[in-house]
Formats: sequence, structure tokens, C-alpha cells
Amino acid sequence: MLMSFLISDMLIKHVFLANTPYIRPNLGTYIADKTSSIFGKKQNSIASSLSPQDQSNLLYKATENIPYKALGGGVYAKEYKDIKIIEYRSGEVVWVEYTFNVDGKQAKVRVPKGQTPPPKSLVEKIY
Amino acid sequence: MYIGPFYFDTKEVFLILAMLIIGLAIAFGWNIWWFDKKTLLTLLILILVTKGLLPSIHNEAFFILAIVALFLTLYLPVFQVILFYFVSFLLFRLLRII
Repeated sequence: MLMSFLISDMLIKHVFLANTPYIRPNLGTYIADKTSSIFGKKQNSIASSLSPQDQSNLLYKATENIPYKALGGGVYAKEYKDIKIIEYRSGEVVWVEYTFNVDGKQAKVRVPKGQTPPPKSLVEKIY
Repeated sequence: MYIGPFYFDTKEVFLILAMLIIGLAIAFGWNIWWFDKKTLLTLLILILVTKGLLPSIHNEAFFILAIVALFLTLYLPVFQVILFYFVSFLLFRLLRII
């Protein structure tokens, strides 16, 4: 009886539409999609069982022979299949310093060149 | 018991009586606490029809199935209870329980 309850629950959720006797019209493709998503989740769960450091090591190892492309302003990127790596090299970023007057004190904010500076209200909130 | 040329077991007579009572409840608007009258009537008709397919000796498992199905009507939608009933009946027959 427990098995039949589980079978009926599965049929109600996946085969029939909204508790009616009508069978899902796209049943074949629906089952195929569900099966492939289950297998996809299993593969992802195997990968996510690794620590973050091991995961990033794996990604770097997979792309070690691919050179970075310079996107400008200290930003470099490379791509391999579904892996995309973006690297920010802070030593190469060109900074522009802005000075704000907050409550009589000077507050300096560094922003990468080309980006708009933050509004004064935001700087006042931070400081 | 014989009604004309037809033979009815005691349990079938009780099922028919229950159906008649529910039919009267629907006709006269009597209240049955928590249960839905139409659901009960539908399920009793199914139970009676499937009872006719069984040999008279295998009653206990069928009786438990009927009670569980009636109880599930309090919690599950009607169609799911009917599916559960048919799947259980099929599995019982395949496993030769009934």
C-alpha cells in the first residue's frame, strides 16, 4: 500500500495535469527533461563535494594552457567550454582619487579610471 | 443472500446499504462531518465494482485497502485517492494477495 501511495503520488505530480484524468500532452519530453536534469544535478553534486579551493584549482588546471586576454584597466579574462575566468590585477588598475567634504573632514575615494565616482550621499553614509 | 437471480455476500449488502444512505444524504442534504458525500459515493461505487471481481475468500486485505482509501479522502484530492485505489488493487492482484 505504501508503494502504491508513492506510485500514485508520482503519477499525480508528473503524469497527470492538475489532479484531472488528463495526461500531460508533452509527457515524453517532460520525462526526458526530468531525467537529464536529475543526472545533471548528480554531476554537479559530485563537483560541489570538493572544497572551494579544490574546485578553483581544478578550473585553473583545466585552463592553464589558455592565455589571458587583456580587457583593459587591469582586467584579464579567458574562456574554455563552460569555464570563464576573470582576473583582476590590482597593481595594474589605474585609480582616480576623488576628495569629498563630509562633516568638515576630507574623505578620499579611489575609483578605477573610466568609472563614475559614487554620489556624495553614499560617501556620507559610509563615512 | 439472493436478490432475484443475483447472489450478494454480507459485505456487499453492507456496501450497498452505505451507498443508499449516502445517496439519501445527498438528496436530502444531510451533513456528514469532514467527508465529502460525492467523493464517498464515487469511492463506494468503485469498491463495490472491484469487490465483484474478487473471490469471496480474500476479504481482509481488500477491506483494509477500502478503509485506507476512505480515510485518504480526508487529506488527498479525489483523483489521487482513486489512482491509489486502482494501483493498490492492481499490485494486490499481481502479488496474489487478493
